[in-house]
Amino acid sequence: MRLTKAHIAVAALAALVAGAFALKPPPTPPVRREAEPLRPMLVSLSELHTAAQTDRTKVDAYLSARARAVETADVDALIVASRDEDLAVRVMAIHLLGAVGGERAMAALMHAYRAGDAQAAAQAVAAIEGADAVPALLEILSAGPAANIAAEALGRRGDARAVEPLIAALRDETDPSRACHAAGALARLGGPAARLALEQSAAGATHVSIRRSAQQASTRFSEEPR
Amino acid sequence: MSLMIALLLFAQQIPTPNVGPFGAAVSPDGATLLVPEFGSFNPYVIGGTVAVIDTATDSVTGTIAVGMQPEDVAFTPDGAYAFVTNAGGATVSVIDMATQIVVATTPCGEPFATFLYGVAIDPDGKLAYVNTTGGNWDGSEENIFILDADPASPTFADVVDTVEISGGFTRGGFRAQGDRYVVARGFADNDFSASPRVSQFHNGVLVSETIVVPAVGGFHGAEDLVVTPNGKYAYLPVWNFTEEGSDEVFVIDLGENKVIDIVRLGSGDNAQHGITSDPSGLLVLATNFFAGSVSVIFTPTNTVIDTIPVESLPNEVVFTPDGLKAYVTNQGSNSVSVIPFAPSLDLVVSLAQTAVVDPSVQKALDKKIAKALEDDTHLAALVKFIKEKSAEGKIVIGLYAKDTNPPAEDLNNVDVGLGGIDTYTQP
Repeated sequence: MRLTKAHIAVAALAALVAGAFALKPPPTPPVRREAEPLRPMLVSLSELHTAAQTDRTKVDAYLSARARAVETADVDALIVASRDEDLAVRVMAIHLLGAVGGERAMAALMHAYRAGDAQAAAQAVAAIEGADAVPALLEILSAGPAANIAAEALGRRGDARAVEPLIAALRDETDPSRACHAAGALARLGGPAARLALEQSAAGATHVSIRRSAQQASTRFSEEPR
Repeated sequence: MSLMIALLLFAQQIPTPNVGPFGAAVSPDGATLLVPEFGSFNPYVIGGTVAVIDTATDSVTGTIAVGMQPEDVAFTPDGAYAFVTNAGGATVSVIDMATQIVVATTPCGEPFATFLYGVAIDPDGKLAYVNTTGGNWDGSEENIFILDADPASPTFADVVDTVEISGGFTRGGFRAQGDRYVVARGFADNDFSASPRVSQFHNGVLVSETIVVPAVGGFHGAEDLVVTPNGKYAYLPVWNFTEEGSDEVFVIDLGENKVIDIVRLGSGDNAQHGITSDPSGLLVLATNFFAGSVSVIFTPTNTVIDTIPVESLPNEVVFTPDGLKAYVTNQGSNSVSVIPFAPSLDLVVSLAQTAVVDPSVQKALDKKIAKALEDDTHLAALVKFIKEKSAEGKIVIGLYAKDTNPPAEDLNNVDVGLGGIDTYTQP
């Protein structure tokens, strides 16, 4: 939704968020800093997001504040905040890192993923465009937690590096949900290896959901040859 | 069709495995209730599961991991799949119900931006409509995502179309054999002072709207609506974003696109959240979010016949297909309330109907009603209502007992939700 005059009702809160940026120190070489400079902003942003979840009139104010946070992001401070003890701060920092992207953000996101914020981190990695995210997505695919997100994202990127890992995921029936997502991803990626793997799973997978997903994916494959 | 008015002795509570039960859906066979668990804000918890509840035992039998902050759920008509909206993750999880495995995850917009809300699947099981109340980081809007819900389709679970119209869309349903998608729309033209609307879409195109005007209050929204089973009417509860509110449910004639009645709930709450209809269409239940109760509306008269206490922050309410139970998700107390609707009342209603047709049985009716009333005040209120209307010479329409089994063509003549008692003559 667009910003409208109706934001008057939430302008004060948005101003608090914006005001936090004024406290941000000027850019410096990448050294570890405490999260405090960003903490007020992240807390406010999280609170605004919370408010937007329960009060739909605050959605635009939240989106505007979030856009400003991305534009003025201090990656170092976000990295520190992504390890904050407060889950709300961590989640918001993780999402901002995903929106900002870049090598350091990617490394921090994978740290967050391994540290336990798997869903949020995986979604943030999936949001990073370009081939740089593929290795991280492949790690998530093989690691297990939030593998569905990685499989889905890999399928949409069209990167050939994902084919073999996705075939392995398809054939690993110990995680049937991941295997089902791998089937859909392989159908998007295409190619002879993907086609063969799907056909084999469609015929021989033990788990009924995997077999069904492979059959569905094979249908898509035949409809959309690549 | 049967009429089963709530014979409420007490509402049983089912604790949910995780926090923030939000939406709810009962499988078409009535065996399973799915409850997305959104999480909470204080303490801050990112939900990511759907609770599976066995309706035979009203016990939790499992949880299914989905995306972040799941809000709503809908079954395909055959019950084979369930679609879950994940508000924070901006994805839709598709569950294979045979194995309770998430087999697909479809991005719809952007995480923590698009604010996915309700999901509804058309009666043919071809398309799933996913409503949103947010927007995208780049300022674009995709307010409704339309997903392929047909497992036989090559594009199953994919986004096949989007609707971009200003405002926030919450929950919706279908009418005219699925030809019309009916959805609650707030903030039209991105104006927060705009009154809520009931919007009707045909093939993804907005074809009509009905604007409701709450009596009091500032910013209004609508978190839900229900289309009556005959497809003729929508009941729209009003959510108030300010302190004052109207405590109203609007009744909209979907054919005429006009408000035909306003039900004053008298709940003491200004924020109604979920709403549903029983399978007969004779009852509509609306949750009073802050009051922690459910208002029961008798649709032939659009009268509140009961207000049932549940637990904290009741969000959504759904009926089982047989109409014997209603389930209410209590977002604030991490529980699901089970409201039984007693079939014993069928007898009373049947007799009441008979009494209207044949006054000679009135005396016998009174005796049977008196016996039924011995231990239930709710039933007493209902029967009093029926008797009053009967005394006014009005025929209470559509009050079929379960064992009368009226032919389907008769049911088509029952004008449920008319907004006033009308006559109906059985052939």
